[in-house]
Amino acid sequence: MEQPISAAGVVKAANNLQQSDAFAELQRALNTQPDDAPNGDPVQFAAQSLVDIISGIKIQQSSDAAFLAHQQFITLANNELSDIRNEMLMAVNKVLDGADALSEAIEQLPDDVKSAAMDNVATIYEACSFQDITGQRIQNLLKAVSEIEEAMASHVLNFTDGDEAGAGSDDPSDAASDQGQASNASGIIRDEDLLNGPAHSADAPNQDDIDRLFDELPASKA
Amino acid sequence: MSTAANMEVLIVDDYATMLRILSNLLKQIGFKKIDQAKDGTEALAYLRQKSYDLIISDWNMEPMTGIQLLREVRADEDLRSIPFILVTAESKTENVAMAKQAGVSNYIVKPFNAGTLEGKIKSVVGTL
Repeated sequence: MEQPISAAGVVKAANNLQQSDAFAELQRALNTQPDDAPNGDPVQFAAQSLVDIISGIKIQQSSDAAFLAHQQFITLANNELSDIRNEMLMAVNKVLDGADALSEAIEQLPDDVKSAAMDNVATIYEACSFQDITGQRIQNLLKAVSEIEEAMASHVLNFTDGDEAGAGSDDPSDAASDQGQASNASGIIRDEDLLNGPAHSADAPNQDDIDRLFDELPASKA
Repeated sequence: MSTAANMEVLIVDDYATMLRILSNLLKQIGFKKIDQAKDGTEALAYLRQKSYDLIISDWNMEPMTGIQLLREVRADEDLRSIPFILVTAESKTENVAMAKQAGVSNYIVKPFNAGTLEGKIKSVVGTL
C-alpha cells in the first residue's frame, strides 16, 4: 500500500528540489529561447526537466514511506513490550495472592507438616521474583526502542535542515557512539552508568562469585 | 537479645511485587516488624522517624538509588551503624566494589532464595 507523504517529507523534497540539478535545468528551460534549447525544442527540454524533478520526489516519498514503516514498527514493539510487562505483573500478583492464601491456610496445619508446606510456599515467592528481573530487562528494551525512535527522528531533522546536516553525521549510530564517548570521557564511573539491569546469565557472576569478591575487596574507611 | 520477631526491618524497592515477595520471605524467616519504602527518599523518611535494626534495599531505584541511600545512611551519625544489605541484579565487580566502599554490610544477587536471604541476614545481625 502506498504511504501518504508527511509534512517532513514535503519539506525535505522541497529543499532537495531547490538544490537539485534538475531544478536548475527547469529554470534554464523556462528561460530558454527555441534556438538555444539543446534539441531545438524548449517545451520538450522543460518537460524532461519536470520528469527528472518528479522522479526525485518519488525517490524522496519512497524514503519517507520507509521511515514511516520503521516508526510504525517501533511503536508496535513499544506497545507489545509494555503489554508483556503489564500482563506478567498481573499474573505474578495472582500467583502471590494464591501463595498468601496458602500461607494463611498452612498456619492451621499441625507443626509436623507446616514446615514442609511453608518451604514450598517460599519456593513460590522465590520463583515470582523473576518478574522483577524480566521487568528490568523489558525496561531496558523499552529504553533502547525509545532511543532508536529519537535517533531516527533526529536523522530526519538533520536531513531536513539542509546545511546544518552537513555539520554532523547523518548516521544515528555515530550520534549514539558520540554520546557514549562523552559519558565515558572523564573515566569516572557514575551511578547511572552502573544501572544497566541484570547481566546475561551466561556471563553473570553467581552469589558464590559475589561472596568471594565481597570478601576480597577492601571495606569502607568510614 | 534480638530475635527475628522483635527486630525492626526496613525493606526498600520500587517494585511493589518485589516488596511483597521480600516481605513474605522475611515473615517466613520469622520477622514480624517489617516496614516498606518504595525508594531511597521514602526510606530516609522512615529511618528518621523510627529506630531500625536492619535495612534491606534494592539498588536500581529512582529518584534515590540504593547506593545513594546507603551513602546517606553511612553519613548520618544516628543511622550509620544500622546493618545494610543490598539485594540487586547488579552483579558486576564495579558494583560490588562501589557498594563495599560505601559501607554495605552484605550483598545479595537476584534471583535469590530464602536460604540465601536468611544466611546473609544472620551474617550481619548475628544468630536469629
